[in-house]
Amino acid sequence: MKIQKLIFAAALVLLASTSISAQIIRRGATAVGSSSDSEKDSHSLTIEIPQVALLDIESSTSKNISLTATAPTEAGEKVIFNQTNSDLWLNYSSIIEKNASRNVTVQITDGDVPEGVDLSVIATQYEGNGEGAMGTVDKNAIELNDNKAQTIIKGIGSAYTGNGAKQGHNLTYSLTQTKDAYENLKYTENNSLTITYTLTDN
Amino acid sequence: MKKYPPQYLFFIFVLLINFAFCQDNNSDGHQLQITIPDVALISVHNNNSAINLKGNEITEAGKKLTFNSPDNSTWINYSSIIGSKNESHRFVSLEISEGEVPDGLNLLVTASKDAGKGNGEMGVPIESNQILDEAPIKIIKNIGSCYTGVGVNNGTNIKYELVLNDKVDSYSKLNFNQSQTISLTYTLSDN
Repeated sequence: MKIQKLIFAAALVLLASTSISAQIIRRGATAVGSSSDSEKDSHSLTIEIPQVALLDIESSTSKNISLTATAPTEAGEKVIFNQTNSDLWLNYSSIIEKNASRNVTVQITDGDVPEGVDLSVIATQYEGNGEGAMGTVDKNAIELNDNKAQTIIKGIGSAYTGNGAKQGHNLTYSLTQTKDAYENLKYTENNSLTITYTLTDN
Repeated sequence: MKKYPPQYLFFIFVLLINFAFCQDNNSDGHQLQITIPDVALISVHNNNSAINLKGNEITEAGKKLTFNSPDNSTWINYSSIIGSKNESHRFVSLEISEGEVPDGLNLLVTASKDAGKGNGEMGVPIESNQILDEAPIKIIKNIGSCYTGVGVNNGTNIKYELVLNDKVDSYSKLNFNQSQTISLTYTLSDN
C-alpha cells in the first residue's frame, strides 16, 4: 500500500512538472459588497489565452530523408544532381501578443554539407485546414551550406496550420553541384545532417 | 479509498512520462542523408574502327623502310569521383593485353593535355614519348574528381607512333611475317 502511494505521488509530481500546456485557471467568484444583499451583485471572470509556440515536422513517409547524386553510366559524363525531396511539411500553432509576429528559422545543427555540392530548401505557401495569420515564405531557396540559422517563413501571427502531412508549409530540398567546383566532389556513402526548424519571436 | 493494483498505477506512471516527452515545442529537426556515388569509368573513342600502323612501301632499291605518320585518332574519356578518406587520386595506365610489338620496332605513346570540354581535376598527362612494351605504362596521373566529356575531341588525345628501335641490329630483326594485330587496354586505377 505504501509503495502504491509513493508511485501515485510520483505521478502527480510529474504531472505538475511537465510542459502540458493545459493551465489550471483558478476561477473564483468574489462577492462584492457587504454581507447584506441588495438588488445587484457581481463577480469577476478571468479570461486567459495561453501563449502558444509549437512547431513540428511531419511526413507521410519518414522524417529521415535522403538525396542521392546519380552516377554516370558512360565514361566522360558527369554526375547528375537532379534529385529533390518534398516529403516534409512544417506544422505550427502560434498565439502571439499584440503587434508581435514570429518567424521560422532553419539551421543545420549537426553535420556538414559535402564539399562541391549546395544544399537548398524552399517552403511553399501555406495550404491545409488551419486558419489565422500564416507566415509568408521567401520566393528564393535558402542555401544551407553553413550552420547559421536563416529565416524561411516570416510574419507568423496567431494561427494554426492543421496537423500532419499536407498541412502547413511543404519543404522541398534540392542538391546541386557547386559551380566550377567539380574537383571538390568526393564520394560519400553515408553523410548525414540534422536540420532543425525553430519558431522564434521577432 | 479504492485500492488500485500496482500494475494499474505503473501504467499511469509510464503514460504520464510518455505524454511529457511527446509534447511538441517550438523546435523540431530531421535527418537528411546526402550520397555522392563512387565513379571510375574510362572508355576509348576512335574515328576509325581500328588503327593501322604500317611500313611505307619502298619504291626504290636501297632505301630504308619508313613508317606511316603517327596516329592521333584515339581519345580517352573518363569520369571519376574520388573519396576523401580512403583514396587520394587515380591514374590511367596502358598495356598491351594481347599480342606483341614486332621485333626491331618500338611503339611510342604520348598523351596530350585534356581537351577542356569537361570539368574538374583532369590529371597530368605524360606528354613525352613512352615505349609501350610488356609492362603497363602510366600515361595520366593525379586524376581527381572530374569528367572529360564524351566522344572524340573530348578528353585526352593519344598519339601512337611506330619507329625502329635504337638497337644496332634492329633493322635486321624486321620480319614481315610478324605483322599482327595487338590489343591495347586502358585502366583507371586508384593510387
